[in-house]
Amino acid sequence: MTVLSDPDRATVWRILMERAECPGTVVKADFRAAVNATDDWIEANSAAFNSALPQPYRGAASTGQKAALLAAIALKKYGRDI
Amino acid sequence: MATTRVQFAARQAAPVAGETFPEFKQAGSTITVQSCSFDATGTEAVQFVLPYVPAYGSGNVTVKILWYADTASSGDVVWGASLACLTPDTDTQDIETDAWATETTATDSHLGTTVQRLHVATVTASNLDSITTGDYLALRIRRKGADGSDTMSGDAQMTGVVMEWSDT
Repeated sequence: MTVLSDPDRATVWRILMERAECPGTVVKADFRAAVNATDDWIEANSAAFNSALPQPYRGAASTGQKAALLAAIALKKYGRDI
Repeated sequence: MATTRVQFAARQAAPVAGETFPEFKQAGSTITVQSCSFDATGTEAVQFVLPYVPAYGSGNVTVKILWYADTASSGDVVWGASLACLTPDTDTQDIETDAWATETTATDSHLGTTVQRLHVATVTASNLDSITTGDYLALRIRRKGADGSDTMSGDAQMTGVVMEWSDT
């Protein structure tokens, strides 16, 4: 995998701002830096995440299914709807 | 010498040809607040029309944009204002192909403390497109969300616009 393209990162940035997911005291550029850092972190740690998944799920699940699992756990863990 | 004022509420906003129109928002827990939601990441535009310019004398036109933040409590917003004026029975310009005079911009800062406090941004429009009393006037308002000086996250909600000029 590679990190998201700049337009894709911008889309995430825009949508999250529209959903009021940017703290009011944080300006646009600093929020964009957080979006970029999150993408970078996922890229750097994707192999470790995959290795942590048990078989037979790891071998059978698609990358999209694993991404949905990661997102769902993160959202549920911090009180958001899945 | 007096100041002539005209005003427009957000609900009077119309789309600008070829530009993105902001979402319309109605909110408020007690009074109803209607506004246009200008995105943080691109340029969106609205237009107001004044069919008859009252009592224009001379000088620049001051455009006061009333706005509040949807979610932010800091940062700056860059607003732009442009005029287009036509004098009926005098100007031969095709009204459907008339162009905007050069845009003037102003940067207004969120004053903090309360997210949805009301602000006013003042744009001094000096490109007047030969405005004169009796003109048909169109006013374009834009948030320049992609401008490097526009730093505020989230939408800027425009609730209305006041135009002022001298009658002498």
